[in-house]
Amino acid sequence: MDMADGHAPTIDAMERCAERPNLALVVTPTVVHELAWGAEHWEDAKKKASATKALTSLLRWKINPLNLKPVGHGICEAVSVQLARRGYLPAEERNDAFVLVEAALCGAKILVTWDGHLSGIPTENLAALLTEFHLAPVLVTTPAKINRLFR
Amino acid sequence: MSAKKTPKDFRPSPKAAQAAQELRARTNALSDTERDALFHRGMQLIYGGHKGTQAVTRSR
Repeated sequence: MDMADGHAPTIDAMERCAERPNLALVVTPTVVHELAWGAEHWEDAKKKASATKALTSLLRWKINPLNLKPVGHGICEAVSVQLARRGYLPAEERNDAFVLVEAALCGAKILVTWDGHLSGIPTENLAALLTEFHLAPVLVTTPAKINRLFR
Repeated sequence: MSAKKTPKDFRPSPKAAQAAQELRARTNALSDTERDALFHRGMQLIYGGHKGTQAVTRSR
């Protein structure tokens, strides 16, 4: 949504990532279905247009959508329950948990988000929880930090 | 994508943040069936209606 709205710091961060030959930009299934909901059902015409633009521009932005094998969705459920039980994410923020676990299941090393719930999870606690489920740790960071890191 | 710009600030867009929060709030409680249907609709929009089922599938 930030990129569709022309938010410069977010666009900069994604461009900096796209320029790195060792990085590939992906979006997880939950991000795709959230944007699809916006593109299909949002009553606000501007928001609906932004969600549509985000989806139709993804490939041009060199961002590829990923899907999970069915078993992956079950793992997402199990880990998201633990994220809430341990107080790392509010229980109602189900999609935040799904995005995080989907990223881990996809083998992502970094999850770039402005979401305060996700970026507020202590890194060591998150790594420990993901390791319990035999998932590789994911570093959750913001576009602002990417811009500072990849200057 | 536009040419690289120097970041003018390091804050999220308040408008986009509010929109993302609203989007998430309205989709948190969807059923698996609804999520799947929306995912496939999203893939159609991404690929222009031609490759709705061709997302790369990853597993560990």
